[in-house]
Amino acid sequence: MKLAVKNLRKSYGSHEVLAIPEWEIDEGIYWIQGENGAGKSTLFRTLAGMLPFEGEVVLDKRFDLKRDPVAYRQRLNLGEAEPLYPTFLTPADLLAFVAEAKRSPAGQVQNLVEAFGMNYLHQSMGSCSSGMVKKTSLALAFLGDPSVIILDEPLITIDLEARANLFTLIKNYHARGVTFLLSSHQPFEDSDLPLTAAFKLQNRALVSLSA
Amino acid sequence: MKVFLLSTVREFYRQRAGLFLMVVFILFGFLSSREHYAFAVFFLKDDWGMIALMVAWIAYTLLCVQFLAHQLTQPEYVILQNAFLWPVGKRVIRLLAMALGLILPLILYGIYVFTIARQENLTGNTWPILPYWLLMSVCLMSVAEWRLRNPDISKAAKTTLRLPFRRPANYVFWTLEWLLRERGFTLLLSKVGVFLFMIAALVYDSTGTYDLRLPAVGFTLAYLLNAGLSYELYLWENEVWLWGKSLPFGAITRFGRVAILHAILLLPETFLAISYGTRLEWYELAQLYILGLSTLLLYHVSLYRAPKLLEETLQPVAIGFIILTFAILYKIPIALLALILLIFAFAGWRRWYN
Repeated sequence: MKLAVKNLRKSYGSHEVLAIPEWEIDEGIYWIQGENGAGKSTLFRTLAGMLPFEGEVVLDKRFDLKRDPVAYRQRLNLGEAEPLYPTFLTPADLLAFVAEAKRSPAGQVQNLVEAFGMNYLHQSMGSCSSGMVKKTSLALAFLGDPSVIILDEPLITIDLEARANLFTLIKNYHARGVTFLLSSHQPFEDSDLPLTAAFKLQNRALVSLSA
Repeated sequence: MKVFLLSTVREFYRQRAGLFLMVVFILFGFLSSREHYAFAVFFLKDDWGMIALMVAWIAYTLLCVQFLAHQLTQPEYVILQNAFLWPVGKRVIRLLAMALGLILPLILYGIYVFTIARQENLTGNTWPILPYWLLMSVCLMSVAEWRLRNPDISKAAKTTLRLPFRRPANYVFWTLEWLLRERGFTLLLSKVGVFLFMIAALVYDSTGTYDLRLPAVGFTLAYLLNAGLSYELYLWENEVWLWGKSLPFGAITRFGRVAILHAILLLPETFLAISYGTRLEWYELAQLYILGLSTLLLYHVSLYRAPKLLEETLQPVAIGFIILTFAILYKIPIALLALILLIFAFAGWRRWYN
């Protein structure tokens, strides 16, 4: 069991967005679907430890998000759908900071920079296009030695070359045992990705589509 | 029209809520009504009075100009460029409404000066006020019109100040840089307010030989006026750099950063107290500093209980300050009080931080 969720509840004020009694996944690549506003980004942000919640989230049967927040976050990375970073920072600043925090192995940053064609490392985020910001967020999501990588709408705004390189990275990391949670409104059929299963976020809960 | 005003006037006040709050603190907390009156009479009677008023109003207008030039090029407000398609007459009226909305504080203060002038039989001296309003409005309308004609978003976004050295990959450094870059004016005004209170506390303390309790109350109040900045630090972590919460840092590390940031924030007024030539010894100043730091930290930690607007967080601060004052007057040692508050702050952090 790679990731387990129990009695997860997340509300914004009186509006409940997530109510997941139980959900477990093994190693694999999972496609999380859902209509706009269904709560996918909230789910991902909650799993990444960015939002307070009720319930239990456990990674690799050992790391509880609430009890072991550092070890958990060391092993789970998130690439957001519409990433926001302080505008005065540069991709180089962000990569250096996150690489240190995630204990990234030597050379990993350079490999990711090349994979995503990031030739704008010293440009402030405020002057980057949405595609450039997105590529930065994807590169950050692959840093360190993660057990699970969540990519929220990874295909939006990136060019075809970056898209192809992203799929290659996913396959390479998956071959090393990394589990992926991907959300996308675009189908992955042309990607050749070995999808394990798909879930739909419906009525605040995750429903299996492969059943 | 509604969208335009909401995106300009309302956003101006919303983004600078901390600043305006501090101005209100200074105007209605520090200055008495007699001093307000004296200021108005100075503007009306002194040869340089109206020029002084104009200089102050120009400074405020420059703040609005800077906001407008920036706001109309923000990617999320690019829709406002459609305002350029309005017919000229309609555009003038709407831009005028926007300008009047932005200089509303100046209009209200001008009305106050008019009423004082009437009481003092000085209405003849008020003639520059109307031209000032007109001048400020035309200035703001021109800037908005210029920005609508030159909507070069990319150019505007690239004009950020570059550091003369390589930026360290350090959270504390980034946070302080963000405060200076993005909340510079709020920082400045907050510090002006804090300095005024600190000087008032020092002046009062120099009028007699009091024990540490009196400066403890005054200093803590001055330090607590950093609450607006502490709230900005909360927004930085929970909105601007929210993704940073997904990074693997433990509760103690995060609390340590918050403590370091607040400790740095309180340094300017502490140096002011030292340079003022106070009779207080270094160990007494150190106790007051740590008491201020723990009080402010406790306020900061309380923000994590539930999301609130700045205004909503200030009432508990006032109540807490009164309780603290009683505790100080009850002769509980300052260092012990500081330690207790620090323990409460850390316990609150462990409980509420997420």
